[in-house]
Amino acid sequence: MEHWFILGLIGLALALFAFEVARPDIIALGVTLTLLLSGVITIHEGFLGFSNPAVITVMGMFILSSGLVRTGVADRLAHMIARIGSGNPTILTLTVMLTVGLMSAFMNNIGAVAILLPAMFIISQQSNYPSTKLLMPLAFGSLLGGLTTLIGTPPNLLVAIALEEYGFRGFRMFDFFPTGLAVMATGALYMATIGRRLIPTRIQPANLTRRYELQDYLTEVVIPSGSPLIGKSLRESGLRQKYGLTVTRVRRKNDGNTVSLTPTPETTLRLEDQLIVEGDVSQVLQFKGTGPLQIYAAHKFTDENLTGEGAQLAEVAIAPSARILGNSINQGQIRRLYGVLVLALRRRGRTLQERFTSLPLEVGDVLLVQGTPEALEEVAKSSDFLVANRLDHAVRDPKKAPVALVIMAVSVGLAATGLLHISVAAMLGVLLMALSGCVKLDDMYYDVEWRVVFLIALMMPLGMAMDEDHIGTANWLANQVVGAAGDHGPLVVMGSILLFTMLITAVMSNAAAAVLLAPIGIAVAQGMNLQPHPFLMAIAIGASTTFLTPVGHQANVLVYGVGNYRFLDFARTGALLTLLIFIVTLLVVPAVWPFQPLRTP
Amino acid sequence: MEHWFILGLIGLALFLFALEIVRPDIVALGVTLTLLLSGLITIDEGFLGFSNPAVITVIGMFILSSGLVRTGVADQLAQMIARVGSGDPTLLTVTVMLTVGLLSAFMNNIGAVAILLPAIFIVAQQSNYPATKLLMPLSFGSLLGGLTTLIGTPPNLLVSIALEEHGFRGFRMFDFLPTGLVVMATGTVYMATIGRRLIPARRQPENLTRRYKLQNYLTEVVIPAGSPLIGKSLRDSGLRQNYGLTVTRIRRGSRENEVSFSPAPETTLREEDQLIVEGDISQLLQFKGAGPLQIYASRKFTDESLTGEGVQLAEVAIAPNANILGNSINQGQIRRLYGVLVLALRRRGRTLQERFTSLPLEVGDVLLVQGTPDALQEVARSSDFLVVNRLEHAVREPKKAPLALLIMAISVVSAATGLLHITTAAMIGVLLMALTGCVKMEDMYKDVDWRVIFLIAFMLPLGIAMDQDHTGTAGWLAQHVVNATGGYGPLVVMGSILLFATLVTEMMSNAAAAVLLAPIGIAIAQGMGLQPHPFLMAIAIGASTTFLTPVGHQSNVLVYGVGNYRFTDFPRTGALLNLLIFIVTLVIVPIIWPFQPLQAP
Repeated sequence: MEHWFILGLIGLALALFAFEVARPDIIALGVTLTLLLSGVITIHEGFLGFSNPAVITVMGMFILSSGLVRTGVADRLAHMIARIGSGNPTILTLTVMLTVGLMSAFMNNIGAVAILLPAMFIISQQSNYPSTKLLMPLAFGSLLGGLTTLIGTPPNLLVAIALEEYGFRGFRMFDFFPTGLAVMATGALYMATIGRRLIPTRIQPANLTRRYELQDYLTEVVIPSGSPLIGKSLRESGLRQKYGLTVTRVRRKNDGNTVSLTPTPETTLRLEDQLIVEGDVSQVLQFKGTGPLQIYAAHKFTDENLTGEGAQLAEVAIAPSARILGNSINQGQIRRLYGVLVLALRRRGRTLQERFTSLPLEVGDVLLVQGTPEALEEVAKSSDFLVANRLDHAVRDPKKAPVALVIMAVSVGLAATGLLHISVAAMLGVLLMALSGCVKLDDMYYDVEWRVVFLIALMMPLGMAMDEDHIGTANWLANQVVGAAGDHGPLVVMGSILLFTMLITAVMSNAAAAVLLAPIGIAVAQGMNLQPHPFLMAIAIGASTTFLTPVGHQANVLVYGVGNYRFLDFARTGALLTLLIFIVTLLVVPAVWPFQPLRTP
Repeated sequence: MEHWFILGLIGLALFLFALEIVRPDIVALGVTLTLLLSGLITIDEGFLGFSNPAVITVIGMFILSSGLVRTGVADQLAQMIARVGSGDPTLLTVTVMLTVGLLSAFMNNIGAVAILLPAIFIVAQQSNYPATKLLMPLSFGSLLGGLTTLIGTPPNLLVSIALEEHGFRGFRMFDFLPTGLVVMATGTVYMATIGRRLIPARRQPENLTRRYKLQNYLTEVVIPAGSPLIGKSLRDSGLRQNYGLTVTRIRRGSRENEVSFSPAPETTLREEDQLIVEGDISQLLQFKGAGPLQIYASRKFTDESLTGEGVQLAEVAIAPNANILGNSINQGQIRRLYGVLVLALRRRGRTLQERFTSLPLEVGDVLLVQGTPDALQEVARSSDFLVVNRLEHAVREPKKAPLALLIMAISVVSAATGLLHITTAAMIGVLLMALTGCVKMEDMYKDVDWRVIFLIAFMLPLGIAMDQDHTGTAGWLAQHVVNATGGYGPLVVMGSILLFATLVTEMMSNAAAAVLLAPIGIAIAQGMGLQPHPFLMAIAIGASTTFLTPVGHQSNVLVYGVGNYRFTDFPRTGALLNLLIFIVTLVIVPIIWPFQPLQAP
């Protein structure tokens, strides 16, 4: 039964997405190739996604976003908001969310978060308000702001183009505005009142050179000669009791070979053993030169300017577009490049069993680095890192900021007035950005998140395979849905779709969810003989409401690392928000997009 | 008249390509937008190029190539060739051309050249044969080798897919082999006998630390206190006569009120003047500390490690996919990153008036760098530079080399046997490379040359606009060509097309030429009632034979800079080669692909 083949493939893909077996775009490539090899779709159809106007527009938006960032338009907003500071946490939260919402309505969500992230720490200091309480609203605000325009986030574009492809009128630039605004307002009010109280208060240290809790860091220490720990078993060492450290791995030189072993309490520690420890390493940092333990990096790199007097500590997050992303930490290279030493790595609160220097860096990773104030300055200026408190990015052409803003406005205006199709307007914007030098030609393709583009393009064949010209699984599914829920009226059906979207988007990226569900939503609407617009609006909203886990969206991942949140912090704050948005969507969408019968053909 | 609009657009595009005011992919974007805005094509058609199977395959080939490079498969071939060494220049030239030809039959041309480049210098040293005499054969060999398989170079794929789209049988994997082999053999024999004698013998120095000629370099010098040149006019200074230097610009005064002017022969030189000079800088390097002139960089950066004892010089070329491409030379950053000092820059023999440190780096630029042997080793390992006298690359996964080779073989074989469409086969290869880790997922999109992809994808709509369903310009043009030359038989028509392809490809990229000419070639064949295959084969060959200028293809650009060739060196060697290949193509193509009438529909 071919329907079961398609459903099985979807199920398999979902499982692979959920378990993060491979990167989502690679899984999507596998899905497309399976469809091609099984003969369900033709070669042309298999790659048709790459020329889909939604994909082209997403590509264009990445380049336009980069124009806004590189000319410093976005930075100015960050400077503006940093000056605010207020004693009133409600106003503070609202301001943050509305600012990031405004930005992410016209640029990609994670870009908006990355730009505003450093400003959060400044506001937090000025207002004496914990930055953790601002970071989650920042991420959520970017997701909600994306819902207010056609170009705010890929799912909006994807459902709009899906409508066009099925012969319906697509959504226009500001068609998303009424519903988006209602949802955004709900989210902002919730976060400013109840939500912010649910976020744990973890006061960030004002000055990183002072001693502070370095919890949840993973670092490598070495047992130096003369250490009282030599010859003691792990149990006797008191590492956990005295230093609060958990030893997850021991690396030991044996006749020239390095062996790596998982320690038991009985493991006897030897001279020069390298231990991977997790926990509060602040006490270890106290020992300069001698002590029972030494930070491995500081032991290996003994340059005066790295570890000597005047050296300071800083926590830096890996920026979403960092060039070092995916590379493992090369101490030598980072030292040459920035003159700092990486002492420890923190990632999603997860325990990492291997040497952290051998792990490829991911978005949201936080590094603890040590160096002179000048070197840290250098790090802050680099576009690879986001440093708390630092607003100055490597803006290349600040003079062109007005030009970039005008180009963006022209693109949006042309699309909003219906003069040009959104994809043409976006590519026109790209051409103008390139010709005016707002985007450097050498950067333009670098700033496109190809993983997202490939994921969307390679998920599309699944939708094609499900349509009437192929297997017809979408209609078959739609019939089942209509058969089961149709009697309860369109609102219940829409509610089911919305619920399903919200669940599925927790597992897969929001764009992939929109690609998968758009054809099903259209088929369901047609099955009920209704216009598909309210259903697809619900899918777009559902796909963007990923507040339950820190890994549901890249914007969450970024603040997860920087804010030192725990996994469950997101569910605690986000569950109620998801529920609220579910209810508001069911109320607002039918009001703005009433259920209307299909005109008979 | 729509035909004239299309022809005007083509003419304008050609003109912009030739002038190189704007990068070709941006020009192509402009072409597509013009067609879209004029309403000649629909939005879907405007972006259809991105899902064209040829474009997808080219993307796939970039990633597969990168797998071969990053696992070191290509490097092993380079090391093999480096061991060759022979006293016989003919044999040497043949070996180089066949090796690069074999590589470029299965990976992209410029990648093959970049991989083998360092080996050429070793071969040259071992055989005591000038490297310049091997570099041009290397570049030409890569272009010729690309002609032997379907995946060897984008034009082959593009004409093949164009055939499929017009309802004909596309070319198979090894359909190109007979003609390609003949053309390749012609080129190799020519280069090994006559061609190599036409290349000027500019001996590369065997040992870069000894005194040698460093011609055509651009650098900045400063007139130190006590220099005998102070107070002399430029004419009296003897800079040109004694040192072979041309002063293109003088900067004078303190940082706040610095003036910069083009010097006249009467200009009097003052202490601390900064001169931008071009020419043979080998004598300048002799002066350590004192002397009439000092290299600005070595005076400003006085670290012992950069200019002290034991430092060596190296000439390094910028790799085609270097991260620093398009950035200007940041001495501080390069010094931190690699521990070397950039003394001078050489670029395509152009006269430059700028500080060389303010010029954005281009492919083919050659830098003269100074540093410790260790630092130079580091530079050699970096993927940003091709060090012309070393043979080590940033190979990441040498253990996976056999696996990468196997995956490549699977892709090629499954396409060659007709089991899979080439596009599917290439993408399966990509999936396997990604899953096995032969290509790191983080690298895979970086290694795609998006400029090429966008250029092809945005040139394709021009072909759509010319087809019968739209303006019909292709048919109209074909009618004119057939009317004018049809009376002389198909061979003359094919010859005209080949000539036109050969000329047009010197102005635009070979892929763009193939995209533009393929639909016209098909229309001409149809106009004459013939199968289009021989015509399109001629177009593919013509598009890849760019031997007349050093800028006609990126492979040429790369050796142009490294080999210190003059512009005219290329036409001197390449003109006869182009002529020979023209004749051979006219002879061989009709034999392998006889002119056959179209089956009556």
